[in-house]
Amino acid sequence: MSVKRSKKTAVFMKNDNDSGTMALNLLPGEIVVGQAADAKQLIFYTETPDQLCQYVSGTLVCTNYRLSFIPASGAVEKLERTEGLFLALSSSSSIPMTCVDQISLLVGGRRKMLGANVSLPRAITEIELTCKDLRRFLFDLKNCKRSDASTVPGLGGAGGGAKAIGLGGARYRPIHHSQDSWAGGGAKRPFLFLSFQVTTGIARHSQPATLSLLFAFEYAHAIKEASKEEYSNDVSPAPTFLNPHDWEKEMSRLGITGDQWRVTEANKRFNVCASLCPFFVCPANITDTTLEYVATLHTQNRLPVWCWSHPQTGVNFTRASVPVAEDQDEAPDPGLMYAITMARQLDKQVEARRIERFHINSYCGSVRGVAKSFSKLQELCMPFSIAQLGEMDKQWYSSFGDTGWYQIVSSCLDLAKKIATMLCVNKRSAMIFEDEGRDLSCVISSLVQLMVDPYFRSISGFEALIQKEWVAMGYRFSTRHRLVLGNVPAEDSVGPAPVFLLFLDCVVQLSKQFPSAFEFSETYILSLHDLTNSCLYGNFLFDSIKERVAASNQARANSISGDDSLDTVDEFEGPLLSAWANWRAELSKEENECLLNPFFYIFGSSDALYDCKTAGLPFDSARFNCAFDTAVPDPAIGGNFGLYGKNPLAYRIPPLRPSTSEHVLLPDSSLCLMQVWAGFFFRYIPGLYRETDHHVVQEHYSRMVREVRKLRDFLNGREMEAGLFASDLAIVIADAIKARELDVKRMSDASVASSDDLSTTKSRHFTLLYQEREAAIDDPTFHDKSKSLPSGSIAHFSSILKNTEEKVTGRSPRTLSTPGPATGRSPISKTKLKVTRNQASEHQAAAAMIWLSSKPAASEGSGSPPRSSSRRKLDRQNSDALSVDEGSQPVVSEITEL
Amino acid sequence: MELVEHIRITRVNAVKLLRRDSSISIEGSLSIDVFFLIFSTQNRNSQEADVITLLHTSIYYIEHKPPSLTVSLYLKDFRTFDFEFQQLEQCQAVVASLQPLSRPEVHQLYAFNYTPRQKPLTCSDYSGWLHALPESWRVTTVNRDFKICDSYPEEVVVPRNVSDDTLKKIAVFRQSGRFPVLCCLHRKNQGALLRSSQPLRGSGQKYSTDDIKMLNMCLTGNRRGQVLDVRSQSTAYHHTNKGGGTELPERYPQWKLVYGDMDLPTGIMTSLEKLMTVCSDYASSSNWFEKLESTGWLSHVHKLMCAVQLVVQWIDTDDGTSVLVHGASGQDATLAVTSLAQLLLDPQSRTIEGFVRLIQREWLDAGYPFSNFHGSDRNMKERSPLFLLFIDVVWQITHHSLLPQITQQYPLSFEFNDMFLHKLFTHSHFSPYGSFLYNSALERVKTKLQERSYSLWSYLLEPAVKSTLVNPYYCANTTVLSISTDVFVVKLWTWAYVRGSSTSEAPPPSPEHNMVSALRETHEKLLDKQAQVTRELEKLQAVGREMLADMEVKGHQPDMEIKADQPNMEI
Repeated sequence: MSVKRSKKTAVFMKNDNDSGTMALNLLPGEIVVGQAADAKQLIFYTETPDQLCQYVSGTLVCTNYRLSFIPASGAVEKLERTEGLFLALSSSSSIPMTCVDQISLLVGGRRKMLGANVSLPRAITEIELTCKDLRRFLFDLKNCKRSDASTVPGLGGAGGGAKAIGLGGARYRPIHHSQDSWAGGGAKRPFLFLSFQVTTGIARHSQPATLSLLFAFEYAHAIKEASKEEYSNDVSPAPTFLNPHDWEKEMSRLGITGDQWRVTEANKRFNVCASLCPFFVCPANITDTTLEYVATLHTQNRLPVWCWSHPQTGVNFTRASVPVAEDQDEAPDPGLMYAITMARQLDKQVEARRIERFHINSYCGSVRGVAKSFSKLQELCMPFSIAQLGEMDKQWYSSFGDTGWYQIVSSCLDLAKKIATMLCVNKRSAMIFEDEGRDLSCVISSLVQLMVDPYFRSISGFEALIQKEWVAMGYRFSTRHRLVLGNVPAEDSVGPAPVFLLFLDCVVQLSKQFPSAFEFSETYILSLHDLTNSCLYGNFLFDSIKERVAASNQARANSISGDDSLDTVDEFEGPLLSAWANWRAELSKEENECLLNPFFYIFGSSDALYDCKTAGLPFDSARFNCAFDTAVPDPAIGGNFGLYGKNPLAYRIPPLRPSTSEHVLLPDSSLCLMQVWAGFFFRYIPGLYRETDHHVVQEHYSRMVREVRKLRDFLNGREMEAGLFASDLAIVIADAIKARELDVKRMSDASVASSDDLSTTKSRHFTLLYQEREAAIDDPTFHDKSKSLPSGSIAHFSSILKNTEEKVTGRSPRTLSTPGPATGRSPISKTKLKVTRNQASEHQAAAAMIWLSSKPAASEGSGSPPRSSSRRKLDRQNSDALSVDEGSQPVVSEITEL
Repeated sequence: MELVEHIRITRVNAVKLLRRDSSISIEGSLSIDVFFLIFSTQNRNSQEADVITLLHTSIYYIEHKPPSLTVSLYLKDFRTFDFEFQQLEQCQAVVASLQPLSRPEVHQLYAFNYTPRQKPLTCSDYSGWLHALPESWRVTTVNRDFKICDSYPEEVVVPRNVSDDTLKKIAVFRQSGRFPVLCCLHRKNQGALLRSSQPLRGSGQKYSTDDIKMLNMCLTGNRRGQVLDVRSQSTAYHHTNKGGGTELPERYPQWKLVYGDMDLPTGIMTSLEKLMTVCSDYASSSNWFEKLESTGWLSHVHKLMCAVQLVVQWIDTDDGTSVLVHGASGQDATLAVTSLAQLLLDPQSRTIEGFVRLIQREWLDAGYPFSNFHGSDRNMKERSPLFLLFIDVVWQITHHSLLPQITQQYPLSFEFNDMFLHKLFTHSHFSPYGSFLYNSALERVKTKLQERSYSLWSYLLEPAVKSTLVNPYYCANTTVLSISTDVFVVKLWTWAYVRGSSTSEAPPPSPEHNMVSALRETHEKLLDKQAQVTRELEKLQAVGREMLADMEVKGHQPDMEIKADQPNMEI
């Protein structure tokens, strides 16, 4: 189930600048908190040379989910030019509150950053927002009038005032009940500055005080309310890894049985490790008590947990935080390490060797480095003005290189490649360590699994991977993406850092080097990033599952009594919606199409998957159950595509050909090959948009891919049709034969009147027939002669026997009924074409003759020949086949009973 | 001196080819013959015996520091090979042989000894003026026998009302006699794109009334013109002291002078050399972006793109402005600007044949001194990478990436792909074909080049070769292209510049390219099959109908009906 857009309520706003109304489609549970007409948005990047700044006027609307700027009708065009890429989730005029990074206010000419414990000034003239997706907004609120109740729907009307600021509308104690200072005198004064109202809204909702106040709770509540019966969070097969079952399924997918690894419930009450998920996989011969002890030897109790095993060799991949003990080289927990080392090696050739250990921080730096680098990038990609943009031109590359972002990307890819090589080429188990084991570990472990396991390159697999390695393993979504005010946990000294973005950028690099290996497109990756910032769903909100459970309980406590919608089916998932079950269903068909990599379907996918997609199943249910070794083949299309065959540096000498299965992606991680992810970093620099071909390209590919898919469908249909037609032709012939049977019998009776032995007669007939045929074929006047011969004579049969013999005897209707192979035409169609008009009836007769001889006494005694079972079977097949293939017109419309 | 006499050593065994990005090396033997350097691996087990064959002339420079046993070869196509020898004598012998062999006299080049395996196509004439000229222009033969200008072809296009005598006078006023000639007329407004060399104004105020008159005759529509001096203002000023300079603004009131601000070819050459170094050890560079920036190559690319966009904007107005482009000699950056402008203005030149014509007209016939600039000339000072810069900008405009990228410009509008561009780049430096030899049309005629060597065009346009050079995305676009000149848009052509020690001359096509080609192919095959299946079906239906008709005649009840179903399909 999903919430379709139609369920959203539309609020119509009166706009002062034009008499028309503009609609803002509200999500379920979304309410307008404040709005300011006559606001102006500054467009930074304008092409008019004389005027560097340009304003668009319109209405600024603030809801508990987002901030929207609705331009006055005349101004729309100007805004459209600045529109970013596709996604509705963050179009240029709508900013999810949680996507706001920093707010600064211009008060009386002074700039003031908004943060914790900053009181909100009254007379705000300008408000500037920077967003986590590198957008910068500047709204001029100088001209906003004082609240004039009539212009603000919901504010002035009866009871509306309360609703608008979230008093009566929300089921839980709304945000302004928390002790933040901004709630101030807002409610006391009936007239207030609109600008203040909007700013208050932004301040409250962009960074609420606690996680339980996030909009996601209200959203989930409203949706469940709206669709009580039909709603169920687990329609989608997407694994959550919050129950033992998902882990078991993952283990069995990789061919692991319970004798070496098991799913432990030791952490069900978060006793072992607070940041890990309640269930995880550990060596089978380690008891839960040992696990608890081992955990204490690691930073934050993050003991080594299983990530992945190679289905053929059984080498495993595990992750952990660094040991507490000073000497990190020596494993502190020999027992567990030994168990992991000894864990089942399927391949007997592979010795159980010492695990290869990788300390991530020594390869890829620290999270702090990621944060630092990104803040430099932010400066670079969010210019204040055109002038600044022009200035950057001078040292664009060195300032870009100076951020060091792609150095980190390249080192992550490099390390992941090393580990993937270790697992698949050297056949050795690997374990990664990180200070806390919950930041770059997530990046590396996901990358490694993307490289070695094709399943994770499908959409459902990728989402499962994120759920498994990020959500379940306790990536600090809330802290790293700064979702709540001042929420930096004591044990974390870093604070916000876009580690998830780093991962996505690495995936983009991979997908550029292996363009057909992934089911999803760059747009999908970008959308996923926007999704994590929009915070509509429960997956990306918390630092750990434990925190999620706590926040859910808190939200339940906040809610007004008697509300059972927050009661949860799943103890760990809480009342929140799952992104995986919902987000793609929310998008339109076209938008969903944009999320797919067209080339994956042509070159990358197995046929099974392809068929599944074209059969019209929603791709949510396109389970990617292919066995490991038959899944996605490498995108090898012609040419020499070994491991090193896919990038510009492919043909270095010597061509290394490690003996590994081909579907392992080993990218080139040289810094010079990293491509700037323009789709993200330059997305909102609209100056870059010119009338070029680039927007056509995607359309171009998609059109071609669509065409190819359509053609394939069409041909499949036609081929089936052709096959069916041919088989039907054969049936007609067979029927005709049966009809003639009696004639023939009569004939033979006549010629050998006294003989009862039909078979002898027939054999004699045949000898005759054969001799005659030989003679007839030699005779040039044969055709003329045969025409003049009376129908039904044996001489007649012989004339065309040559043509029909092999076809009719060689291929019974049964064999013909199966449509020809996908590539070839159906066998009969080729040969039947030779049959000419005057031969047609003879053809039947000859066939009848053979029918008789091959089936002696088949229909003796019966008046009409029984309908052969093969025929009936065929009918069934036909109807089945035709019903599957809806698009094509059946050639044989009806086959009536004889 | 015959080439053979340079060979000091013909074969060295047990030579190691080192890889810069890893510790792996391969052993093989090195052979030197008159034209080629051949390295073959001795590993007999390996299925594909790796053989590297290099034309001596492809070597840009040889690095050998005596006590070391390693000889590094830097190739003009950005490949680098490090060979490690066992004895110093071997090193020295190889270096001593390669030094002269890599810089032979023009007449000793391989192009004059090469015979293509396949009979070359008869090469149609790609030179000359191909458009039908409007009334106001004419083809002049004033330069017959290259009397006036030795770097121009014999036929050039000038305004109809300028007599040959006047042209002779103007030629005196322009450096090396390169008087203003027409490159192309913009279809939309008949605006003219002209090129010339600098006027010999000197530090004084010299001018030529004929020159002024002639330029004014080129004006159309709004009677205004633009002069683009590709140099920077300071360089132009510097040149006035040497007798050159720019047009005097007060003498050309209808023309507005703008400086293109491009560096001198020598400066660009320095950039290119730095770029070669940076690209040759790409693996070790941790501060890649900074190093890349420091080469300055991308800023040259950017400047050229800006200049071209400026020219196109001037010409593509409603009333037609004429543009004159010149630098100092009008033989380097000038040609890059005019040819790129034509590429953006004229849809014809965006096809493979059109592009070949463009190269022939704007580079070969216009007197770009290929032999001096690209050849294996001993005089390194005279090298200029403007042709590569031009190819690079074409790539910036045409290149595509699979995912929709803000940084790509016109991936659909050009018929050729980056392999075509790469071929032009390498063949202009070293080639078994003769097309890029010598400095001007005069030299080519004098040396009877056409009779003595084969044409590169005949090879490139061979159907089998051409099919590999076609851009699989191509759909003709007849509009004037306007390129983005944002600095973000300029990217390094990594595919061509970062080559390592690749065995193959051309880099392999990108996976994207392969994929799109395969998609195209699949598409075509499926269309074929569709037609075939449809045909078969129709035939079958016909047979079926006949049979039924027959059976009816014979009194049998038809037990099935066949619909005359015309398979149709719309996409």
